[in-house]
Amino acid sequence: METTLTRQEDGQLVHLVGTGHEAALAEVYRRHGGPVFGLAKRLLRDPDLATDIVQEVMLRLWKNPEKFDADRGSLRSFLLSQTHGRSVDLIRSESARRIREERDARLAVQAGLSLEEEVWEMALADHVRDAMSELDAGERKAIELAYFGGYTYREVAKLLDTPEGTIKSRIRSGLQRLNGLLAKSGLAPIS
Amino acid sequence: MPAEYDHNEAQGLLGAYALDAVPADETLALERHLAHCAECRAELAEHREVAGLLAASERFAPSQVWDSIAGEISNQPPAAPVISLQRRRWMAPMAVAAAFVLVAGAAVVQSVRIGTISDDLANERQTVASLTDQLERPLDVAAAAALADPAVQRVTLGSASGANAIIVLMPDGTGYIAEHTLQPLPAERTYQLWAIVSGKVISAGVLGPNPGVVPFRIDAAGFEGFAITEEVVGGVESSENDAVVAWLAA
Ligand SMILES: [Zn+2]
Repeated sequence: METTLTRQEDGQLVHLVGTGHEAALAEVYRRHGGPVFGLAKRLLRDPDLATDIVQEVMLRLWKNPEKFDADRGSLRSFLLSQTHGRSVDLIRSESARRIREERDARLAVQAGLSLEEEVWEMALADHVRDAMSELDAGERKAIELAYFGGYTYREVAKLLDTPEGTIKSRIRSGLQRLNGLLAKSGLAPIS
Repeated sequence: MPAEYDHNEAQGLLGAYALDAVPADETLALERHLAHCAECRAELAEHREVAGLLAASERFAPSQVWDSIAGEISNQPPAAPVISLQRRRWMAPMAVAAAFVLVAGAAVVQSVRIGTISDDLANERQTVASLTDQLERPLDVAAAAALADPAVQRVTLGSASGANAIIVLMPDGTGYIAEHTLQPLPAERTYQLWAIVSGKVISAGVLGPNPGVVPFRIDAAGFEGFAITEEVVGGVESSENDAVVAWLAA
């Protein structure tokens, strides 16, 4: 069973999840659980909270597999996007003031308000790191703060003392450029 | 804040939205626009894929996290254990040279016309024959076991006339037509099963005029639909006939 499942494509795997196939969900976790847990932990700084989020995201797939639409994107980005959304909700909720304060305190001591070092130490895949380093510093910082810091674009604008409209467009153009750069390394999600 | 952003305003926010960086008070206006703008939805999907690559750095999923998930799901059966005709959205797979006539508002396929070249039909027939020989258990017992096994997929081919056929698919690519309500055909006619795999319609087997439990084999990864047509005895390489029953993945 395991050896067969490892050959299934993601869409097919989710299909099997929908038939109540626990081994299929285990295979989804084996493939994508690392990045998913890593992202939650990075945002929340707390392995227990991260475990809760990952569990919630996996259970949601178990109960509502039809929410994943293979035509709209990969299973990995679907799971990561849910994980990111739930983690950020938690950071922004009132009950998570402690997480927020710790995050802001960490940020305050970092010269230049950059998460770059942290992102570097994440052992980003080489090609992703290369692509990130080709962005303008402004684009890179805005994306890092929004994605890995969990800040809204307005908060990023304040942190970087830059107009909100500029931050919005830097995030968008930065992501577009990353897509193009990653396309060259054969990694682009969509041609 | 407008109730709904226009295309330009929405577009400007798509990058931030993909990173969950749009403040709550703007989200609704953006989502209202996204609901009817395919262009914005496509760009958003692209940004989300890129964001996914940024996060995809840790390779190994911690096993203790899985343990807690497994503990939870043993108490929570999935909401949708069976893929049934009524629950699926009917949508023609792209790039299939088949004309799908859908009944508006009703979740049934009225007719499916199949007009592409099938794979080597002789091979298909041989596969079915040898598979039948290999099976030690009587087929109906195997199919009944397959129907009851939660590990297999089960799809129901339907039609406007109410005829249906249930296919069960094992993870290893073996399938059975386990039950059906197809009318017996004259001796010179036969039912033929077609699978839509990666946008191509291929013959999955010639079923005979009055199918019993019929096994077949298919590359289980990525099938998009099944149809059964009525053909001259021996089957055809490509069919011009309407499907008697059909199922298409959403
Ligand atoms: Zn738009």
